[in-house]
Amino acid sequence: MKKKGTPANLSREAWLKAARQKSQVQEDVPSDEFSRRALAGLQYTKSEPELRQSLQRIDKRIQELTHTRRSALRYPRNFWIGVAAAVILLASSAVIVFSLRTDSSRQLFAEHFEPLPNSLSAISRGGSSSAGDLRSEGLQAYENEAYREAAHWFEQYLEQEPADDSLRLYHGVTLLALGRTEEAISSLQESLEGLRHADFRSAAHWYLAMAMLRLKEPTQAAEQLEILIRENPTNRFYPPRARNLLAQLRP
Amino acid sequence: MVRSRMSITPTGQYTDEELLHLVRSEHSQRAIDLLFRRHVHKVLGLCISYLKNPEDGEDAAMEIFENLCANIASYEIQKFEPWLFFVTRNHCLKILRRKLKHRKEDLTEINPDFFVEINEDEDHYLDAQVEQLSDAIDQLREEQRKCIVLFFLEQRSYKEIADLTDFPLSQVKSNIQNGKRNLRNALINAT
Repeated sequence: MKKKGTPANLSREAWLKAARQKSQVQEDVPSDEFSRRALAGLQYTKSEPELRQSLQRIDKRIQELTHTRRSALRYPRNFWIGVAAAVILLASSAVIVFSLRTDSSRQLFAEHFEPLPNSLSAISRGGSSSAGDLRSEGLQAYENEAYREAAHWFEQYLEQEPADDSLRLYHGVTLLALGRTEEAISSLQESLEGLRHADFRSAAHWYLAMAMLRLKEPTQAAEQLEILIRENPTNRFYPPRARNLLAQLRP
Repeated sequence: MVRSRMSITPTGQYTDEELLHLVRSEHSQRAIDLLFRRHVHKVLGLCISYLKNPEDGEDAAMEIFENLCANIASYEIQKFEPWLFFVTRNHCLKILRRKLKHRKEDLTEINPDFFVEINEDEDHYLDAQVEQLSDAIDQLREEQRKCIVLFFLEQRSYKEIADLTDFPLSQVKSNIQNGKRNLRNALINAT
């Protein structure tokens, strides 16, 4: 039976979140057997980062398999040219297709990434004055594009105020600007767990998509963009950009 | 109907069935990539839930996707997700059956009919038993579950289980004995 808070369909993020918070696995039981059993499997896992790595390895394998077949389809073999020529052609085309694809992901990142303009007040909503100072210093450094310094202040601040998810979003963007992409993903995903404001959520999905592009993971970038559009279709800023980028990523 | 390749709906997402159509009609490898990666976490979770071990679960999920990447266009699929569930389930049950055969004698303590000789075409009967056993293992208390999984699915000796779990040897023996009894009761209640 479907219980309170039951996800209609178990997303990857929800599954990983359940892995982080194993106590909730028993509470949010989806109605379909596939999701229910997928959640039940979490009792045999060790940690969320290990699961994430496991997912990445499978993703990568699927990508390898579909790439190989894609290049083969694009370059049909010709008997008359001869088997040797076909093999050489196929091998070189695979390299070209792969490098074009990965280059294009990086290129899309370069075209679309720009840091999120600061819309936060330098004054924190609560917490101690020392935490407020760290936040102010961090945001000031962020506005000055001194990202290394900003990351330093944000990290100290978040140790004291871990529930400030909007600041965590900026921390994620800062890490992305610094090229610390995997840490940025972790920070952005964590911010999404607490962010309620639709526009902030859209920003988090947008920058997650940017991070995925930087990791040459266009499929996962597309997933983030799809979530963004679905969650906040009336926002005038992010959905048009997301559709534009998705069109460049589509099959 | 399937949308044009470049068009995006307001929700921005292809359904599984639309992606399948792209796979069949255009041999789109990108569509396969999207379709499979959308379900990777559920396949992995399901494999782990049956095989009770994240490494075995990952191996099984890899095998499933490797097979499907090569053959997906040849299957008649109406609804992708339920179909994928059964493909994954059947693959895992096949692996479980193979593993459990190493503990045939111990399994007959739980259910004397577990590995009665049956015809190939009655494998579904055995699958149902294996699935019930898998579900019953999930319901055991943690210390019993750990020992039972290591004993039945990884074919570990009592000594190895003691080393791996840090339980004293006597506790390992009692966990396995009590675990077997609880499994027997659970299977009786399930039938």
